[in-house]
Amino acid sequence: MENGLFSLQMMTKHKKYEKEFELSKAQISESSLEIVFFSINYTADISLNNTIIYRHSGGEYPFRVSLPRDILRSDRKNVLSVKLLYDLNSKNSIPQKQRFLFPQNHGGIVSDVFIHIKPDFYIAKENITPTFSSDYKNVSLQVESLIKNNKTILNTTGIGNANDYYLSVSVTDAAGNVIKELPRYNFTLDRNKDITITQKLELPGAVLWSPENHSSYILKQQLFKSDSLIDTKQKLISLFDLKSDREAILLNGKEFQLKGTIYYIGNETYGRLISYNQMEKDISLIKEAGFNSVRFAKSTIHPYYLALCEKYGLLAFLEIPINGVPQGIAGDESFINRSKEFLHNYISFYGEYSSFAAIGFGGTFLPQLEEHISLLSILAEAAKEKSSLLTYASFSNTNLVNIEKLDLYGIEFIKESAAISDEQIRELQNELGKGKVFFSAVTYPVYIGGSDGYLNEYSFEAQAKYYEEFFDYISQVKAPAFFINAFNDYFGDYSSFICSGSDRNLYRIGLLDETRSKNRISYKVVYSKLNNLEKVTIPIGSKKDDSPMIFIVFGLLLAIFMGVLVNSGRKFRDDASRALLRPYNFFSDVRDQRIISAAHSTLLGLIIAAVIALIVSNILFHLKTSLFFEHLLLAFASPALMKMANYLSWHPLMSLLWLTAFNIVMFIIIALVIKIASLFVKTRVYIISVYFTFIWAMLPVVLLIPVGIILYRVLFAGSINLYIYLGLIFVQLWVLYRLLKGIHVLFDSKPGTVYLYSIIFILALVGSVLFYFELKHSTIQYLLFAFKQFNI
Amino acid sequence: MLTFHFRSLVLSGILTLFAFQFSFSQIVFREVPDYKIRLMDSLFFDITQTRSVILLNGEWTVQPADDDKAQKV
Repeated sequence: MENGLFSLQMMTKHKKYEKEFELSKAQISESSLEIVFFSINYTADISLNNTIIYRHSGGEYPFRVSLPRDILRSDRKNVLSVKLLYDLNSKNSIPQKQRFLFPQNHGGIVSDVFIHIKPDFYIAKENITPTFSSDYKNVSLQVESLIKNNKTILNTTGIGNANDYYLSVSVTDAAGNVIKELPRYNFTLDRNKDITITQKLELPGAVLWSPENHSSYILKQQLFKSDSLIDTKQKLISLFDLKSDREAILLNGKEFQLKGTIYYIGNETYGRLISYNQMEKDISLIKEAGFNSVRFAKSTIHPYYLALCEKYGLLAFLEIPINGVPQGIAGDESFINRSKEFLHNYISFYGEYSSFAAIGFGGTFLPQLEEHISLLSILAEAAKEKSSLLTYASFSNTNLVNIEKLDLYGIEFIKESAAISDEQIRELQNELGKGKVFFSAVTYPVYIGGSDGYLNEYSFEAQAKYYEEFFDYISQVKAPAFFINAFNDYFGDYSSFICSGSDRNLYRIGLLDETRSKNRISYKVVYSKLNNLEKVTIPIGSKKDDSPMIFIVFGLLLAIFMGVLVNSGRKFRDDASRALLRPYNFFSDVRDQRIISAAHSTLLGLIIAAVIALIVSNILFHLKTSLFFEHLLLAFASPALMKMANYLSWHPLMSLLWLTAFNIVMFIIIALVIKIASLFVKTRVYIISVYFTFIWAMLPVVLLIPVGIILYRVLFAGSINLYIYLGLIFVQLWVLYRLLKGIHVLFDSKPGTVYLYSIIFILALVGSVLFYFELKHSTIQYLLFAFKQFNI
Repeated sequence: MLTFHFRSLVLSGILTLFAFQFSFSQIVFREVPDYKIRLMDSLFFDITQTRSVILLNGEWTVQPADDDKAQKV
């Protein structure tokens, strides 16, 4: 079948996938069989006819497994079983549980699976090393062919003279015309042995591959026995020399600027599953836009992308999908080993494709963390041992240090203009070399969508302006490479604030939308810059005030209700002034069952719940574009929490209503907790007294009504935010102090005892929540990392 | 009456637990539209006159790892 029916495992659970297939006797005895998985996620035990043949230690990368001949059967169906566990965690899996702007990641069998049938005497692999003449006109290819003899005893007997094998190697152009052919290479090879044959092939006047001229050759290897063909292997090869010099990146000996974009595969319904047609369409669109390279970040890819890159003329940057790893995890031995294993498997499989130009080790590294530098050194060394690929890593700030065997140092910019860090960038260029420092991810998220001009932050127009300015800056600073993040909008697993409160986890950071429409002005600007076309005019527009009127209306309503309540009678005014100014006396009255109006208290409680909701809604609305806040929430690795925070931040009215209701429920719970605590004291405490104490202890909150009306505007101005947050913390502490005072009066206990137990209780509660999350998701480590990342 | 309430409470509890369990063992099978594996790209799939492939896409049976009840897709 050729359909694209794949299983996507959404939850953590062991599942067993089984598939039956038939093989003939000849296929088993005269072939070498290999099963190829383009992607299974995450860990898997692979069994053939109830015998485990391979243990996949985790990761979506493609891999091959040999099918042992002795386990296969021809008299009945063979059963291939994959016992799969999809369980991403915060410490050891790649990618990790906390994934900022990662494309969707599903478990299961998420790409093609097939059996590759080769002869039993066959060319297992080849290693091609090109050497270029100094003028890049001639190429010398060193071809190492690994040949294996897997013949059975039965097939070996009666074979005659074992010395009459020979290997024929030739190079043809894409049309099949032979360009160069090596003389036949005779050799002998015993059963169950292998041989590596190294030959040199000269290609004078070879046409070198480049993004502008993406013509490739085909290396054809043929094995003969007594002039009868026993195996043919063909491989597409593109001849180019990409080097990182101190002053520039060189392609085929000439200075070359990598103009790239980051491509993510994140379909709403299918995740990373897309058809071959769609893959080709995307790659051709990237090429058509004028890019010459593509970075596949935060995800593994279908290897067909590499074939397409070769075909269309794009240099591919592939990387381990890790991002923002806390130092404790980055320094952990098991994480380092897993990363190395991942890297090893990456290079082994993807390394066969010529367009694979550079291997990356992930993003959001902090140069000030020793663990990050050490991890990168280890990975860079491992990569250089395995291949001659360029190595790169992406950092979230500019205080970079030299790392052995790391060729390229990427700097990430999100929202902020690169020009702001011009001084540091030029310093880095002096220190590390101009050819070493590049822009690995230049991102401008679109939170608000379309507007009338770029004066409105986070609009498509502002995104276009951001990229226009970035291109102007790039021409000044002469960076060897840059990658626009991203080529297209895509879907992720977590609800980011970039989703603007939508229940679709669509990350709007692309030049194109998720349907690949080219209508966005940012695409037009980038297209014109990449292709040296006429300047695209971006409308200026007028800055719109996004301050929600609902905060003012809601605040005024609360003020009116409070006014009505204050003027409802002298009793309330007296109670309020006593509660505020002489809380000890007031709480004594409550304890002694002096008359306090339940209606007044309840109305006051509702107003307090609403005022708290108003303040919190203001803060959430202000933080809706804060990356730091998003990272803090993400540390808890809870898609539900992210979704809720995203929804509340972007929907102020609903936030006010939901938070008011939530506060009322919380008031009831806290009152019940206090009542339960009263069981440990001798004094009899009535629930109604607890209720009154709790409500009236929170009285100072009503003073925040005017603050709630203007809070967003003040926070938006940004000049006194720290003082505002300190002021709000002060009010919280004041209320807490009043509550504890109320409790000790109510319980008739020593103040010190109540304070001590209350503080222990609060610390234990917060501590146990954090302990739980730390144990389950390493939350504290991620929280601390977020503080370091944002220099707070 | 009280017994009735208690019984329905227990029943709904069991149903909730069942639904919870079910939701945590969710597998979704998705058929990608327009999906056709490009076997004609013989260079990519390493298909020659001596080499071939057997596709194993689709129609896998899936079951919980410790369960005999299989689901065919």
